[in-house]
Amino acid sequence: MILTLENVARRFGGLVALSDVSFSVPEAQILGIIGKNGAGKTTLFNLIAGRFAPSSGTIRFSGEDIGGRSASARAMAGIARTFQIPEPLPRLSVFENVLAGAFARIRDRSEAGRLAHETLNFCDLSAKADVASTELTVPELKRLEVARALATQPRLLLLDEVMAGLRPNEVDEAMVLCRRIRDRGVTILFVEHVMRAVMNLCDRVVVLDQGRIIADGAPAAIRGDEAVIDAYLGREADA
Amino acid sequence: MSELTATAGRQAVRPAAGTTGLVLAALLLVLAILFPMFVSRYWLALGITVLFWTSFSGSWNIIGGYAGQFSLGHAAFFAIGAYSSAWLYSVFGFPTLVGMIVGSAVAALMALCIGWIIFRYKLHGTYFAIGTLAMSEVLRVLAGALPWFGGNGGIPIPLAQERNWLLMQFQPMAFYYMFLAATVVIIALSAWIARNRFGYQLAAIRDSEDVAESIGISPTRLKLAAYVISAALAAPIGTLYSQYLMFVDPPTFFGLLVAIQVVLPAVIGGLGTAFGPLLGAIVLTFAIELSDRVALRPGASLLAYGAMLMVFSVLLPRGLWPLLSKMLPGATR
Repeated sequence: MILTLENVARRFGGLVALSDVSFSVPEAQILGIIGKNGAGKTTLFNLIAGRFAPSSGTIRFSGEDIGGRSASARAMAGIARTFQIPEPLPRLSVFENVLAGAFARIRDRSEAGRLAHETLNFCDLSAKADVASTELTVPELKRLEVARALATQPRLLLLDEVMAGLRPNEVDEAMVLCRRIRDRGVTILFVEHVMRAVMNLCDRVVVLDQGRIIADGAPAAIRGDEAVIDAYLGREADA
Repeated sequence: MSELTATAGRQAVRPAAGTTGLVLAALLLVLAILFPMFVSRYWLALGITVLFWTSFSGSWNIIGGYAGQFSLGHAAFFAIGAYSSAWLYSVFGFPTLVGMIVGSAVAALMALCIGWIIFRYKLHGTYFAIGTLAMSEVLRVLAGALPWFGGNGGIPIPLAQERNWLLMQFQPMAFYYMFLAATVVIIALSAWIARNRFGYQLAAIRDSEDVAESIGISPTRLKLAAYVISAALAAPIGTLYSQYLMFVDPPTFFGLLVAIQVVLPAVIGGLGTAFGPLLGAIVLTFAIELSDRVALRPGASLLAYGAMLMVFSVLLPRGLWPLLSKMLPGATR
Protein backbone atom coordinates (compact mmCIF):
# COMPACT_ATOMS: atom_id res chain seq x y z
CA MET A 1 0.00 0.00 0.00
CA ILE A 2 1.45 3.34 -0.99
CA LEU A 3 -1.03 5.44 0.97
CA THR A 4 -2.97 4.44 4.06
CA LEU A 5 -5.34 6.59 6.10
CA GLU A 6 -6.45 5.28 9.49
CA ASN A 7 -9.33 6.93 11.34
CA VAL A 8 -8.34 10.34 10.07
CA ALA A 9 -10.34 13.28 11.37
CA ARG A 10 -10.01 17.01 10.93
CA ARG A 11 -11.82 19.65 12.89
CA PHE A 12 -11.82 23.39 12.28
CA GLY A 13 -12.88 24.86 15.61
CA GLY A 14 -16.26 23.29 16.27
CA LEU A 15 -16.74 22.17 12.68
CA VAL A 16 -15.95 18.56 11.92
CA ALA A 17 -14.79 18.58 8.31
CA LEU A 18 -13.72 14.92 8.22
CA SER A 19 -14.25 12.11 10.65
CA ASP A 20 -13.16 8.51 10.83
CA VAL A 21 -11.78 8.35 7.30
CA SER A 22 -9.91 5.13 6.58
CA PHE A 23 -8.84 3.75 3.24
CA SER A 24 -5.69 2.67 1.51
CA VAL A 25 -4.40 2.88 -2.02
CA PRO A 26 -2.21 0.21 -3.63
CA GLU A 27 0.62 1.24 -5.93
CA ALA A 28 -0.26 2.35 -9.48
CA GLN A 29 -3.97 2.52 -8.84
CA ILE A 30 -6.21 5.39 -9.87
CA LEU A 31 -8.42 6.34 -6.97
CA GLY A 32 -11.24 8.84 -7.40
CA ILE A 33 -12.74 10.86 -4.58
CA ILE A 34 -16.22 12.20 -5.18
CA GLY A 35 -18.84 13.93 -3.12
CA LYS A 36 -20.92 17.07 -2.97
CA ASN A 37 -19.37 20.46 -2.35
CA GLY A 38 -18.60 20.63 1.35
CA ALA A 39 -18.40 16.85 1.69
CA GLY A 40 -14.77 17.13 2.78
CA LYS A 41 -12.93 16.37 -0.48
CA THR A 42 -10.70 19.41 -0.40
CA THR A 43 -9.97 18.89 3.30
CA LEU A 44 -8.97 15.31 2.58
CA PHE A 45 -6.83 16.43 -0.34
CA ASN A 46 -5.07 19.05 1.79
CA LEU A 47 -4.51 16.57 4.61
CA ILE A 48 -2.68 14.23 2.26
CA ALA A 49 -0.79 17.05 0.51
CA GLY A 50 0.23 18.49 3.87
CA ARG A 51 -1.36 21.91 3.94
CA PHE A 52 -2.46 20.98 7.44
CA ALA A 53 -2.15 18.06 9.83
CA PRO A 54 -4.98 15.71 10.84
CA SER A 55 -6.66 16.42 14.19
CA SER A 56 -6.46 12.71 14.89
CA GLY A 57 -5.65 9.50 13.04
CA THR A 58 -2.61 8.60 10.98
CA ILE A 59 -1.63 9.09 7.35
CA ARG A 60 1.00 6.67 6.11
CA PHE A 61 2.91 7.08 2.88
CA SER A 62 4.74 3.89 1.89
CA GLY A 63 4.75 2.80 5.51
CA GLU A 64 5.90 6.06 7.10
CA ASP A 65 3.67 8.24 9.22
CA ILE A 66 3.69 11.59 7.43
CA GLY A 67 0.75 13.26 9.22
CA GLY A 68 2.95 15.80 10.96
CA ARG A 69 5.23 16.68 8.07
CA SER A 70 5.21 19.92 6.11
CA ALA A 71 3.91 20.16 2.57
CA SER A 72 7.44 20.49 1.20
CA ALA A 73 8.64 17.45 3.15
CA ARG A 74 5.78 15.45 1.67
CA ALA A 75 6.66 16.63 -1.81
CA MET A 76 10.20 15.43 -1.21
CA ALA A 77 8.84 12.12 0.10
CA GLY A 78 7.11 11.64 -3.26
CA ILE A 79 3.67 13.23 -3.06
CA ALA A 80 2.97 15.81 -5.76
CA ARG A 81 -0.16 17.89 -6.18
CA THR A 82 -1.92 20.21 -8.59
CA PHE A 83 -4.01 23.22 -7.63
CA GLN A 84 -7.71 23.40 -8.37
CA ILE A 85 -7.35 26.96 -9.61
CA PRO A 86 -4.17 26.66 -11.68
CA GLU A 87 -1.29 28.54 -10.11
CA PRO A 88 1.39 29.04 -12.73
CA LEU A 89 4.44 30.91 -11.47
CA PRO A 90 3.54 34.04 -13.45
CA ARG A 91 6.98 35.51 -14.01
CA LEU A 92 8.40 32.26 -15.34
CA SER A 93 7.89 30.72 -18.76
CA VAL A 94 6.11 27.40 -19.18
CA PHE A 95 9.45 25.61 -19.42
CA GLU A 96 10.78 27.39 -16.33
CA ASN A 97 7.67 26.46 -14.34
CA VAL A 98 8.34 22.80 -15.02
CA LEU A 99 12.07 23.31 -14.48
CA ALA A 100 11.34 24.63 -10.97
CA GLY A 101 9.55 21.34 -10.33
CA ALA A 102 12.39 19.28 -11.80
CA PHE A 103 14.84 20.92 -9.38
CA ALA A 104 13.07 19.10 -6.53
CA ARG A 105 15.26 16.06 -7.06
CA ILE A 106 17.93 17.24 -9.48
CA ARG A 107 20.61 19.81 -8.63
CA ASP A 108 22.28 20.03 -12.01
CA ARG A 109 20.81 22.67 -14.32
CA SER A 110 21.16 20.82 -17.62
CA GLU A 111 19.92 17.53 -16.22
CA ALA A 112 16.90 19.29 -14.69
CA GLY A 113 16.38 21.02 -18.03
CA ARG A 114 16.32 17.67 -19.82
CA LEU A 115 13.72 16.29 -17.42
CA ALA A 116 11.64 19.47 -17.80
CA HIS A 117 11.66 19.14 -21.60
CA GLU A 118 10.77 15.47 -21.39
CA THR A 119 7.92 16.23 -19.03
CA LEU A 120 6.63 19.04 -21.24
CA ASN A 121 6.71 16.64 -24.14
CA PHE A 122 4.88 14.00 -22.14
CA CYS A 123 2.16 16.51 -21.25
CA ASP A 124 1.94 17.80 -24.83
CA LEU A 125 3.16 21.29 -23.92
CA SER A 126 6.45 21.36 -25.87
CA ALA A 127 5.07 23.84 -28.37
CA LYS A 128 4.42 26.29 -25.53
CA ALA A 129 7.75 25.84 -23.72
CA ASP A 130 8.95 29.43 -24.13
CA VAL A 131 5.60 31.12 -23.76
CA ALA A 132 4.84 33.12 -20.59
CA SER A 133 2.84 30.84 -18.32
CA THR A 134 0.12 33.47 -18.01
CA GLU A 135 -0.66 33.23 -21.73
CA LEU A 136 -1.90 29.64 -21.65
CA THR A 137 -5.49 28.53 -22.24
CA VAL A 138 -7.39 26.75 -19.46
CA PRO A 139 -6.66 23.20 -20.66
CA GLU A 140 -2.99 24.13 -21.13
CA LEU A 141 -2.85 25.60 -17.63
CA LYS A 142 -4.27 22.37 -16.23
CA ARG A 143 -1.63 20.40 -18.12
CA LEU A 144 1.05 22.75 -16.83
CA GLU A 145 -0.12 22.01 -13.28
CA VAL A 146 0.28 18.30 -14.02
CA ALA A 147 3.65 18.78 -15.73
CA ARG A 148 5.13 20.81 -12.87
CA ALA A 149 3.93 18.22 -10.36
CA LEU A 150 5.23 15.32 -12.48
CA ALA A 151 8.64 16.96 -12.83
CA THR A 152 9.16 16.44 -9.10
CA GLN A 153 9.18 12.70 -9.92
CA PRO A 154 6.41 11.72 -7.51
CA ARG A 155 5.16 8.27 -6.60
CA LEU A 156 1.74 9.61 -5.70
CA LEU A 157 0.06 12.34 -7.72
CA LEU A 158 -2.84 14.27 -6.24
CA LEU A 159 -5.03 15.87 -8.90
CA ASP A 160 -7.51 18.51 -7.76
CA GLU A 161 -10.32 18.81 -10.34
CA VAL A 162 -8.01 18.83 -13.33
CA MET A 163 -10.95 18.11 -15.63
CA ALA A 164 -13.20 20.91 -14.41
CA GLY A 165 -13.92 23.44 -17.12
CA LEU A 166 -12.66 21.22 -19.95
CA ARG A 167 -14.63 20.44 -23.13
CA PRO A 168 -15.62 16.79 -23.70
CA ASN A 169 -12.75 16.17 -26.14
CA GLU A 170 -10.32 17.83 -23.74
CA VAL A 171 -11.60 15.56 -20.95
CA ASP A 172 -10.80 12.60 -23.22
CA GLU A 173 -7.26 13.89 -23.70
CA ALA A 174 -6.84 14.44 -19.97
CA MET A 175 -8.00 10.88 -19.34
CA VAL A 176 -5.43 9.54 -21.77
CA LEU A 177 -2.76 11.58 -19.97
CA CYS A 178 -3.84 10.19 -16.57
CA ARG A 179 -3.60 6.61 -17.86
CA ARG A 180 -0.14 7.26 -19.27
CA ILE A 181 0.97 8.68 -15.93
CA ARG A 182 -0.37 5.62 -14.16
CA ASP A 183 1.39 3.37 -16.68
CA ARG A 184 4.65 4.93 -15.52
CA GLY A 185 3.92 3.48 -12.11
CA VAL A 186 2.61 6.65 -10.49
CA THR A 187 -0.38 6.24 -8.20
CA ILE A 188 -3.09 8.81 -8.82
CA LEU A 189 -5.60 10.11 -6.34
CA PHE A 190 -8.04 12.54 -7.82
CA VAL A 191 -10.87 14.70 -6.67
CA GLU A 192 -13.25 15.21 -9.54
CA HIS A 193 -16.79 16.21 -10.44
CA VAL A 194 -16.69 15.06 -14.06
CA MET A 195 -18.48 11.72 -13.60
CA ARG A 196 -17.62 10.39 -17.03
CA ALA A 197 -13.92 10.66 -16.19
CA VAL A 198 -14.37 9.20 -12.72
CA MET A 199 -16.31 6.22 -13.96
CA ASN A 200 -14.01 5.49 -16.90
CA LEU A 201 -10.69 6.15 -15.31
CA CYS A 202 -10.83 5.01 -11.71
CA ASP A 203 -9.95 1.58 -10.45
CA ARG A 204 -11.75 2.53 -7.30
CA VAL A 205 -13.92 5.34 -6.02
CA VAL A 206 -14.31 6.69 -2.51
CA VAL A 207 -17.49 8.65 -1.88
CA LEU A 208 -17.58 11.29 0.85
CA ASP A 209 -20.66 12.79 2.40
CA GLN A 210 -20.63 15.16 5.36
CA GLY A 211 -17.07 14.29 6.19
CA ARG A 212 -17.53 10.54 6.20
CA ILE A 213 -16.92 7.78 3.70
CA ILE A 214 -20.28 6.41 2.60
CA ALA A 215 -19.01 4.11 -0.12
CA ASP A 216 -15.70 2.68 -1.30
CA GLY A 217 -15.52 0.37 -4.28
CA ALA A 218 -15.25 -0.15 -8.03
CA PRO A 219 -17.02 2.44 -10.20
CA ALA A 220 -19.70 -0.02 -11.27
CA ALA A 221 -20.56 -0.85 -7.66
CA ILE A 222 -20.60 2.83 -6.70
CA ARG A 223 -23.01 3.63 -9.50
CA GLY A 224 -25.57 1.20 -8.11
CA ASP A 225 -25.06 2.08 -4.46
CA GLU A 226 -28.31 3.40 -2.95
CA ALA A 227 -26.54 5.63 -0.42
CA VAL A 228 -24.40 7.20 -3.13
CA ILE A 229 -27.36 7.77 -5.41
CA ASP A 230 -29.20 9.48 -2.58
CA ALA A 231 -26.29 11.57 -1.43
CA TYR A 232 -24.56 12.50 -4.66
CA LEU A 233 -25.45 10.97 -7.99
CA GLY A 234 -29.19 11.58 -7.75
CA ARG A 235 -32.14 9.44 -8.86
CA GLU A 236 -32.33 10.65 -12.42
CA ALA A 237 -28.63 10.44 -13.01
CA ASP A 238 -27.72 7.79 -15.53
CA ALA A 239 -24.00 8.01 -15.92
CA MET B 1 18.15 25.95 -37.68
CA SER B 2 15.78 24.32 -40.15
CA GLU B 3 17.33 20.88 -39.94
CA LEU B 4 17.03 20.83 -36.17
CA THR B 5 13.91 19.38 -34.66
CA ALA B 6 11.65 21.83 -32.87
CA THR B 7 12.65 20.62 -29.43
CA ALA B 8 16.38 20.57 -30.09
CA GLY B 9 16.14 24.08 -31.54
CA ARG B 10 14.47 25.37 -28.45
CA GLN B 11 17.04 23.79 -26.19
CA ALA B 12 19.81 25.33 -28.24
CA VAL B 13 18.49 28.87 -27.91
CA ARG B 14 19.49 29.35 -24.28
CA PRO B 15 23.24 28.60 -24.30
CA ALA B 16 23.64 30.61 -27.52
CA ALA B 17 21.84 33.58 -25.99
CA GLY B 18 24.08 33.22 -22.94
CA THR B 19 27.19 33.58 -25.10
CA THR B 20 25.99 36.84 -26.67
CA GLY B 21 25.15 38.11 -23.21
CA LEU B 22 28.63 37.22 -21.99
CA VAL B 23 30.25 39.08 -24.88
CA LEU B 24 28.18 42.19 -24.18
CA ALA B 25 28.94 41.98 -20.48
CA ALA B 26 32.68 41.63 -21.20
CA LEU B 27 32.57 44.71 -23.47
CA LEU B 28 30.81 46.65 -20.75
CA LEU B 29 33.45 45.55 -18.26
CA VAL B 30 36.30 46.69 -20.53
CA LEU B 31 34.63 50.09 -20.89
CA ALA B 32 34.21 50.30 -17.11
CA ILE B 33 37.88 49.44 -16.58
CA LEU B 34 39.04 52.10 -19.06
CA PHE B 35 36.60 54.77 -17.89
CA PRO B 36 38.66 56.37 -15.03
CA MET B 37 41.69 56.81 -17.29
CA PHE B 38 39.92 59.33 -19.50
CA VAL B 39 37.70 61.34 -17.19
CA SER B 40 37.86 64.23 -14.71
CA ARG B 41 37.62 63.80 -10.94
CA TYR B 42 33.99 64.85 -11.13
CA TRP B 43 33.13 62.03 -13.50
CA LEU B 44 35.23 59.62 -11.48
CA ALA B 45 33.19 60.51 -8.39
CA LEU B 46 29.98 59.92 -10.34
CA GLY B 47 31.37 56.58 -11.51
CA ILE B 48 32.14 55.59 -7.93
CA THR B 49 28.61 56.60 -6.89
CA VAL B 50 27.10 54.48 -9.65
CA LEU B 51 29.21 51.42 -8.82
CA PHE B 52 28.63 51.85 -5.09
CA TRP B 53 24.86 51.90 -5.53
CA THR B 54 24.99 49.07 -8.07
CA SER B 55 26.86 46.75 -5.74
CA PHE B 56 24.91 47.76 -2.65
CA SER B 57 21.54 47.50 -4.36
CA GLY B 58 22.70 44.28 -6.02
CA SER B 59 23.28 42.77 -2.60
CA TRP B 60 19.75 43.79 -1.58
CA ASN B 61 18.40 42.36 -4.84
CA ILE B 62 19.12 38.78 -3.69
CA ILE B 63 16.59 38.96 -0.87
CA GLY B 64 14.45 41.82 -2.21
CA GLY B 65 14.36 40.92 -5.88
CA TYR B 66 15.12 37.24 -6.40
CA ALA B 67 13.45 36.05 -3.20
CA GLY B 68 10.80 38.79 -3.39
CA GLN B 69 11.11 39.77 0.28
CA PHE B 70 11.03 43.55 0.35
CA SER B 71 13.56 44.28 3.08
CA LEU B 72 13.70 47.84 4.40
CA GLY B 73 16.41 46.98 6.91
CA HIS B 74 19.28 46.38 4.53
CA ALA B 75 21.09 49.48 5.84
CA ALA B 76 21.71 47.55 9.07
CA PHE B 77 24.02 45.02 7.38
CA PHE B 78 25.78 47.75 5.44
CA ALA B 79 26.34 49.64 8.71
CA ILE B 80 27.49 46.51 10.54
CA GLY B 81 30.22 46.15 7.91
CA ALA B 82 31.24 49.81 8.21
CA TYR B 83 31.19 49.84 12.00
CA SER B 84 33.04 46.53 12.34
CA SER B 85 36.05 47.61 10.34
CA ALA B 86 36.12 51.20 11.63
CA TRP B 87 35.75 50.14 15.26
CA LEU B 88 38.21 47.26 15.10
CA TYR B 89 40.78 49.51 13.41
CA SER B 90 40.34 52.66 15.50
CA VAL B 91 40.13 50.87 18.87
CA PHE B 92 42.28 47.76 18.43
CA GLY B 93 44.28 48.57 15.34
CA PHE B 94 43.01 45.56 13.39
CA PRO B 95 43.66 45.87 9.64
CA THR B 96 40.57 47.01 7.76
CA LEU B 97 40.53 43.88 5.65
CA VAL B 98 40.16 41.79 8.79
CA GLY B 99 37.39 44.11 9.99
CA MET B 100 35.69 43.72 6.65
CA ILE B 101 35.66 39.93 6.93
CA VAL B 102 34.51 40.07 10.56
CA GLY B 103 31.77 42.54 9.56
CA SER B 104 30.55 40.23 6.84
CA ALA B 105 30.40 37.33 9.29
CA VAL B 106 28.60 39.39 11.93
CA ALA B 107 26.08 40.63 9.34
CA ALA B 108 25.47 37.06 8.16
CA LEU B 109 24.96 35.88 11.73
CA MET B 110 22.62 38.79 12.42
CA ALA B 111 20.60 37.95 9.30
CA LEU B 112 20.47 34.32 10.36
CA CYS B 113 19.02 35.19 13.79
CA ILE B 114 16.62 37.93 12.66
CA GLY B 115 15.64 36.00 9.54
CA TRP B 116 14.99 32.83 11.47
CA ILE B 117 12.49 34.65 13.68
CA ILE B 118 10.90 36.60 10.82
CA PHE B 119 10.53 33.71 8.38
CA ARG B 120 9.69 31.15 11.05
CA TYR B 121 6.72 33.26 12.10
CA LYS B 122 5.86 33.92 8.48
CA LEU B 123 6.06 37.69 8.26
CA HIS B 124 5.21 38.46 4.64
CA GLY B 125 5.14 41.53 2.44
CA THR B 126 4.56 44.73 4.38
CA TYR B 127 5.11 43.00 7.71
CA PHE B 128 8.49 41.78 6.57
CA ALA B 129 9.38 45.28 5.36
CA ILE B 130 8.32 46.85 8.66
CA GLY B 131 9.98 44.14 10.74
CA THR B 132 13.34 44.55 9.01
CA LEU B 133 13.04 48.33 9.18
CA ALA B 134 12.40 48.12 12.93
CA MET B 135 15.47 45.92 13.37
CA SER B 136 17.61 48.44 11.52
CA GLU B 137 16.19 51.39 13.49
CA VAL B 138 16.83 49.66 16.81
CA LEU B 139 20.46 49.15 15.79
CA ARG B 140 20.73 52.78 14.68
CA VAL B 141 19.47 54.06 18.03
CA LEU B 142 21.73 51.61 19.83
CA ALA B 143 24.80 52.72 17.85
CA GLY B 144 23.98 56.33 18.66
CA ALA B 145 23.48 55.61 22.35
CA LEU B 146 26.61 53.57 22.96
CA PRO B 147 29.68 55.75 23.49
CA TRP B 148 31.75 52.63 22.93
CA PHE B 149 30.78 52.77 19.25
CA GLY B 150 31.25 56.52 18.99
CA GLY B 151 27.69 57.51 19.92
CA ASN B 152 25.88 59.96 17.67
CA GLY B 153 29.14 61.43 16.45
CA GLY B 154 30.27 58.15 14.99
CA ILE B 155 33.86 57.02 14.54
CA PRO B 156 36.39 58.95 12.46
CA ILE B 157 38.75 56.51 10.80
CA PRO B 158 42.33 57.42 11.81
CA LEU B 159 44.66 58.16 8.94
CA ALA B 160 47.13 55.34 8.43
CA GLN B 161 50.71 56.14 9.44
CA GLU B 162 52.15 53.61 6.99
CA ARG B 163 51.32 52.56 3.48
CA ASN B 164 49.60 49.22 3.91
CA TRP B 165 46.96 47.97 1.51
CA LEU B 166 45.39 45.92 4.29
CA LEU B 167 44.26 49.22 5.83
CA MET B 168 42.37 49.98 2.63
CA GLN B 169 42.99 53.73 2.59
CA PHE B 170 43.13 54.49 -1.11
CA GLN B 171 42.91 57.23 -3.70
CA PRO B 172 39.48 57.65 -5.34
CA MET B 173 40.63 55.80 -8.45
CA ALA B 174 41.43 52.72 -6.36
CA PHE B 175 37.99 52.93 -4.76
CA TYR B 176 36.50 53.04 -8.20
CA TYR B 177 38.14 49.70 -8.99
CA MET B 178 37.19 48.22 -5.61
CA PHE B 179 33.53 49.06 -6.20
CA LEU B 180 33.86 47.81 -9.75
CA ALA B 181 35.17 44.50 -8.42
CA ALA B 182 32.26 44.32 -5.94
CA THR B 183 29.85 45.08 -8.78
CA VAL B 184 31.30 42.35 -10.98
CA VAL B 185 31.17 39.79 -8.17
CA ILE B 186 27.56 40.61 -7.33
CA ILE B 187 26.34 40.69 -10.92
CA ALA B 188 28.10 37.40 -11.69
CA LEU B 189 26.68 35.82 -8.54
CA SER B 190 23.19 37.11 -9.36
CA ALA B 191 23.37 35.78 -12.91
CA TRP B 192 24.57 32.43 -11.61
CA ILE B 193 21.79 32.26 -9.05
CA ALA B 194 19.15 33.15 -11.64
CA ARG B 195 20.18 30.29 -13.92
CA ASN B 196 20.48 27.62 -11.30
CA ARG B 197 18.42 25.66 -8.81
CA PHE B 198 18.63 28.25 -6.03
CA GLY B 199 17.33 30.99 -8.32
CA TYR B 200 14.39 28.98 -9.67
CA GLN B 201 13.45 27.91 -6.17
CA LEU B 202 13.59 31.54 -5.01
CA ALA B 203 11.49 32.52 -8.02
CA ALA B 204 8.90 29.93 -7.03
CA ILE B 205 8.77 31.33 -3.47
CA ARG B 206 8.53 34.88 -4.79
CA ASP B 207 5.57 34.00 -7.01
CA SER B 208 3.70 31.57 -4.72
CA GLU B 209 4.77 29.93 -1.49
CA ASP B 210 2.00 27.35 -1.84
CA VAL B 211 3.34 26.25 -5.19
CA ALA B 212 6.91 26.35 -3.88
CA GLU B 213 6.03 23.99 -1.06
CA SER B 214 4.18 21.70 -3.44
CA ILE B 215 7.40 21.19 -5.40
CA GLY B 216 9.44 20.37 -2.34
CA ILE B 217 10.83 23.78 -1.43
CA SER B 218 11.03 24.87 2.19
CA PRO B 219 10.35 28.63 1.96
CA THR B 220 11.76 29.33 5.42
CA ARG B 221 15.10 27.72 4.62
CA LEU B 222 15.49 29.22 1.17
CA LYS B 223 14.52 32.74 2.25
CA LEU B 224 16.91 32.47 5.16
CA ALA B 225 19.73 31.46 2.80
CA ALA B 226 18.96 34.40 0.51
CA TYR B 227 18.81 36.77 3.46
CA VAL B 228 22.16 35.61 4.84
CA ILE B 229 23.84 35.94 1.42
CA SER B 230 22.36 39.43 0.99
CA ALA B 231 23.62 40.50 4.40
CA ALA B 232 27.07 39.00 3.97
CA LEU B 233 27.46 40.92 0.69
CA ALA B 234 26.15 44.24 2.03
CA ALA B 235 28.64 44.40 4.92
CA PRO B 236 31.89 44.55 2.86
CA ILE B 237 30.32 47.30 0.76
CA GLY B 238 29.70 49.17 4.01
CA THR B 239 33.38 48.77 4.87
CA LEU B 240 34.45 50.05 1.45
CA TYR B 241 32.11 53.02 1.67
CA SER B 242 33.29 53.96 5.16
CA GLN B 243 36.91 53.84 3.93
CA TYR B 244 35.91 56.09 1.04
CA LEU B 245 34.29 58.60 3.46
CA MET B 246 36.85 58.01 6.27
CA PHE B 247 34.19 58.00 8.98
CA VAL B 248 31.13 56.10 10.16
CA ASP B 249 28.11 57.52 11.96
CA PRO B 250 24.56 56.33 12.58
CA PRO B 251 22.58 58.51 10.11
CA THR B 252 24.92 57.98 7.16
CA PHE B 253 25.02 54.20 7.51
CA PHE B 254 21.95 53.13 9.47
CA GLY B 255 19.65 55.93 8.29
CA LEU B 256 16.20 55.52 6.83
CA LEU B 257 17.37 57.34 3.72
CA VAL B 258 19.98 54.63 3.03
CA ALA B 259 17.39 51.93 3.65
CA ILE B 260 15.20 53.42 0.92
CA GLN B 261 18.01 54.46 -1.43
CA VAL B 262 19.37 50.92 -1.58
CA VAL B 263 16.04 49.62 -2.83
CA LEU B 264 15.67 52.16 -5.62
CA PRO B 265 18.31 51.06 -8.17
CA ALA B 266 16.93 47.51 -8.16
CA VAL B 267 13.33 48.71 -8.40
CA ILE B 268 14.12 51.16 -11.20
CA GLY B 269 16.38 48.79 -13.12
CA GLY B 270 14.42 45.59 -12.55
CA LEU B 271 13.82 43.50 -9.44
CA GLY B 272 15.42 40.10 -9.55
CA THR B 273 17.57 40.79 -12.61
CA ALA B 274 21.38 40.70 -12.58
CA PHE B 275 21.85 43.99 -14.45
CA GLY B 276 18.81 45.80 -13.07
CA PRO B 277 20.68 47.45 -10.16
CA LEU B 278 23.39 48.74 -12.54
CA LEU B 279 20.84 50.21 -14.92
CA GLY B 280 18.88 51.67 -12.02
CA ALA B 281 21.98 53.11 -10.35
CA ILE B 282 23.00 54.88 -13.57
CA VAL B 283 19.55 56.38 -14.09
CA LEU B 284 19.20 57.28 -10.42
CA THR B 285 22.64 58.87 -10.06
CA PHE B 286 22.10 61.16 -13.00
CA ALA B 287 18.54 61.97 -12.02
CA ILE B 288 19.65 62.97 -8.52
CA GLU B 289 22.62 64.92 -9.86
CA LEU B 290 20.34 66.83 -12.22
CA SER B 291 17.61 67.48 -9.68
CA ASP B 292 20.13 68.80 -7.15
CA ARG B 293 21.59 71.13 -9.76
CA VAL B 294 18.28 72.35 -11.08
CA ALA B 295 16.70 72.91 -7.68
CA LEU B 296 19.95 73.96 -6.00
CA ARG B 297 18.57 72.65 -2.73
CA PRO B 298 19.80 69.51 -1.01
CA GLY B 299 16.24 68.34 -0.26
CA ALA B 300 15.31 68.17 -3.92
CA SER B 301 16.85 64.73 -4.32
CA LEU B 302 14.58 63.35 -1.58
CA LEU B 303 11.59 64.53 -3.55
CA ALA B 304 13.04 62.84 -6.62
CA TYR B 305 13.46 59.52 -4.74
CA GLY B 306 9.84 59.55 -3.66
CA ALA B 307 8.62 60.48 -7.10
CA MET B 308 10.70 57.81 -8.83
CA LEU B 309 9.66 55.10 -6.39
CA MET B 310 6.01 55.92 -7.06
CA VAL B 311 6.34 56.25 -10.80
CA PHE B 312 8.20 52.96 -11.14
CA SER B 313 6.08 50.88 -8.81
CA VAL B 314 2.88 52.03 -10.51
CA LEU B 315 3.86 52.36 -14.16
CA LEU B 316 6.81 50.02 -14.55
CA PRO B 317 6.80 47.49 -11.71
CA ARG B 318 9.29 45.27 -13.49
CA GLY B 319 11.72 48.11 -14.05
CA LEU B 320 13.71 49.19 -17.08
CA TRP B 321 15.68 46.00 -17.67
CA PRO B 322 12.85 44.01 -19.34
CA LEU B 323 12.44 46.87 -21.84
CA LEU B 324 16.16 47.01 -22.55
CA SER B 325 16.65 43.26 -22.68
CA LYS B 326 14.10 43.00 -25.48
CA MET B 327 16.43 45.13 -27.58
CA LEU B 328 19.56 43.13 -26.71
CA PRO B 329 19.58 39.72 -28.34
CA GLY B 330 21.63 37.95 -25.69
CA ALA B 331 20.08 39.27 -22.54
CA THR B 332 18.57 36.95 -20.00
CA ARG B 333 16.93 37.46 -16.68
